[in-house]
Amino acid sequence: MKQFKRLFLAFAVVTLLAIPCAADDEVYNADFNIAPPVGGDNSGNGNCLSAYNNCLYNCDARTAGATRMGCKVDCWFDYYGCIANSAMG
Amino acid sequence: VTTSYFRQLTGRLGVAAAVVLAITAAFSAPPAVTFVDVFRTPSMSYFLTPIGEIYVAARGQSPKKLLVLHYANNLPYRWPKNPASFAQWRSEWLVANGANQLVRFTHDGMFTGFVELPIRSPKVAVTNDAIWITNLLAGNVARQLWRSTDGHTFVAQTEGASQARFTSPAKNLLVLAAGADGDVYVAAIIGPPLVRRVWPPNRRAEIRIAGSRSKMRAGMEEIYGVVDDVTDYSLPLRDLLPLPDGGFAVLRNREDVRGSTGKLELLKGRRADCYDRAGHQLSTAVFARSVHWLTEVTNTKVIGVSNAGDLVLATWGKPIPEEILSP
Repeated sequence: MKQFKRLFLAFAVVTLLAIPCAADDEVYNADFNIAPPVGGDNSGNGNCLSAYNNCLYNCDARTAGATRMGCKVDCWFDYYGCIANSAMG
Repeated sequence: VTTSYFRQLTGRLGVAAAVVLAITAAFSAPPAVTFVDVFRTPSMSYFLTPIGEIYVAARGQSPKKLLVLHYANNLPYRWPKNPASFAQWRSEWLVANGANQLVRFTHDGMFTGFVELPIRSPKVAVTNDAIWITNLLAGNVARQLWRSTDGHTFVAQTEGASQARFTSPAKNLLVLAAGADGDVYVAAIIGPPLVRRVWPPNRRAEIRIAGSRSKMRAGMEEIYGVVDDVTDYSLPLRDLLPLPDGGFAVLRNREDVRGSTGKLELLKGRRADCYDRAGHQLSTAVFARSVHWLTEVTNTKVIGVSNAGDLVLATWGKPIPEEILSP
């Protein structure tokens, strides 16, 4: 029982310490929902959104866990570059 | 007979093809280069290509290839993601590519390792005493800009920065500009025509910049979520160059102007403005062609460079103020 209490306490401390250290990746995932934008704004003549959706689809199909998250952030980086190019083009 | 004739014919065709190829190679233009970023010192401008080459241009000169970022065995550095931004920090090149590391190279381009970052950064800039990076995934202004004075530890610049949650991660598309004297400016690529001077702390300011926009574009300053095409949004500036006297020059981005027929026409990267250290607009220059960066400013002229490396010179004239036009 004593051992169980210690384990529980250790788990609680680690969890509490981890909360304020949430990386921006996680914030991004929670706040902006990195899942494919359903419908999205396809009214324009760009192709950034379709490339982004394809990229996310490939992440889902080929990766898992933390690698999947990294893959999706890489998709965001490419999307970011795509819209930056069209903004400055 | 048929076989020998066929051999003769293919031989002649081969020779003719080789001659045509040789002539084409001899007279064709050098391969086109597209630059993704510029790093400016008082005497030189350096340009980065998406495959990790650095070009250099002395004042008033066209860019020439300086080096290829490489490993110790001289093979080009293999980029998992294309390089997006670079700067020279002390005697090293630092390159950002959206990862949570900056890639370090010696002054002559040899890979030496990484600077680990607490965030993923697509942009790096330097002042005389600090490295500045932007956060690809910030959820608010207070998480957008990070600074390091030792080259290892980065701290978010939260002073005076809003903690209000962004409506879109595209709010992290930024123009970041740092002057050797220590001034640092940040501006949203999509948003109102505003520039924030974030450093030095005693000169922090939010400065409204000039530009001509249609009523519709002026109403599209806020971006929500992920969009396909940003070209209709308010995209006020594409570059900012801090000046030694504490002022700065801005290259306007997408503008709507009244054409000779009375209709609104699009101007892209064609006008630049000079501002004094208090943020007052002093003058405007109009480039004959679109440019992407400002590389040189004097009292009378300004030089812009396109992302293909073409130099365009313009003369400062009367300031053209902000304008919002009805169709």
